[in-house]
Amino acid sequence: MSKGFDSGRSGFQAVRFVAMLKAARDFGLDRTVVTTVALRFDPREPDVDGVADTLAAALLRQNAPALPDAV
Amino acid sequence: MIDDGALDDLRGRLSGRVFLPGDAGYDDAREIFNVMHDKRPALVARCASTDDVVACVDVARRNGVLVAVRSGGHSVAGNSTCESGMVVDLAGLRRVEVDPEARTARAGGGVLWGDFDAATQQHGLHTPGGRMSRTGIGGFTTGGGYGWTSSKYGLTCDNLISTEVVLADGNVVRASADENTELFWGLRGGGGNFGIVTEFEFRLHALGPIVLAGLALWPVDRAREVMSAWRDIVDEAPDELSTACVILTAPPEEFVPDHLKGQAAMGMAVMYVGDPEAGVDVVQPLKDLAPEVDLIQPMPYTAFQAILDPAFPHGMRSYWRGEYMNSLSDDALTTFTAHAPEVQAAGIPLSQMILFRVGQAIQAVPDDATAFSHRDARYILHPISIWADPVDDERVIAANRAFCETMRPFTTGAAYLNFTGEDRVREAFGDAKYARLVALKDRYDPENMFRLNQNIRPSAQTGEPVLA
Repeated sequence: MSKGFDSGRSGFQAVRFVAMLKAARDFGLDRTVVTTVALRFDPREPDVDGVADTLAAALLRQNAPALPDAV
Repeated sequence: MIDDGALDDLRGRLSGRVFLPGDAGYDDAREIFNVMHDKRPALVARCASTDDVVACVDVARRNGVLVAVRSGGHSVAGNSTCESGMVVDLAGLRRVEVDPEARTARAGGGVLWGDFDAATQQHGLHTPGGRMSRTGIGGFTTGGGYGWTSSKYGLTCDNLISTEVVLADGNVVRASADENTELFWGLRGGGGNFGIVTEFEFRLHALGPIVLAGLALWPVDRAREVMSAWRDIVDEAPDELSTACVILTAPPEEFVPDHLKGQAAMGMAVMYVGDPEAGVDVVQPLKDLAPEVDLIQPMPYTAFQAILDPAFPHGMRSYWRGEYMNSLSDDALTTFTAHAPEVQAAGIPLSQMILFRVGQAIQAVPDDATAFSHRDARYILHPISIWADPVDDERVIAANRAFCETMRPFTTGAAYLNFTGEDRVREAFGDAKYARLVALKDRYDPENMFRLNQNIRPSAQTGEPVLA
């Protein structure tokens, strides 16, 4: 546990998690998807990097351009 | 101290574990949240059952051993440890049983709020609980218990249905509205004075798992203007709106603008205690105050309940106060915003000067219904000083006390005992209620075995007349 902010990050895992949810919404990720990811979060064992990866992957899937059938 | 015979007696009866000085795990077992209280108990008895707690009480009583009771070890006053005595550690009593049909939950005396919230939220239920997930339910509930959802559902102790209590004489009783009613009255606000609560039964309410909640941040030079608007909004808002304002150090996170990182800032915590969709219009006036960081949005209730955890790390020194306010005048706001950054700066980066909006549903419970008092308060001033180096003890504590003194014209003089490490018990209850509590203490703990708490001294020790 950080004794302060010396490490360059505050250790506010739940706040970082919430900020990621906000960013995902701001980027247009479907709200149902955001909620589904949010509900997997256990603040007792926070895996914020895992949440970031999951949200990023969901955004990429949602925004992937449709490819022509011939490709 | 405890002699070898008593220790053997205890070990023979205990299904949990005993930690003695020198044992592996002893230092972890004795450490509490506020390391200003770095004490070395003769033993830590980690109880695994109610019978274990009875064994501890019996052995302590027969041998005159000093007793401290630990639920989560989060007492800022350091009451969950002691020097040379016995710590009755309830960490083995961590079971939570939820009855979703009846909307009730039974929780062991060592359950932490994070565990309780996780168990109840599986059913979309909750009871008002601690704002830090590592707080134990024991001291929090018996001291009253302000949670984020108290604005709608009252104090934690207001949601108590029954308790199982180990008394000073070793007997185990239940206390509720139907059994041992005076004891039940005292356990709701009177702290750990009357016994060790090994099980709490709570009433639950529907909420979540997603709530509209979050944090917002402004530059500190906007604090006076924003807090004035906040007061006007929340004083007219429905009970579903739960809020607090805080002067803090903005963390160096990606979502914080560079010019605020590491600087004094004004934060606001917001929860709408109800359907998130219904809360949008209620919360919007606060979002319209144009924060530079706005993280108020739908989020899991359990995440919001843990959102402040890192602000209160173990291994730090803490000095807190909890001062009631009946109103928040312009002068009070001017004084708060002028001086809070100074005292916050005395213990950077983790110190926080908080103003909670309270009252609301808490006021709906008659004052004489529970030992808990001062339900008419509308705000609580909660200056939290946190620092690392013992060299700074005097300076930081003096700054916090001076701040409270500066705010004294605007506070009632009464204290919320869960937020203070000082002996302000009489002020917390008032004379009449204190006398009733002394009578209860005389009945259930006349020798004051349970004295490491916000102590109500039995009349035999004070020489004061007993309540008729």
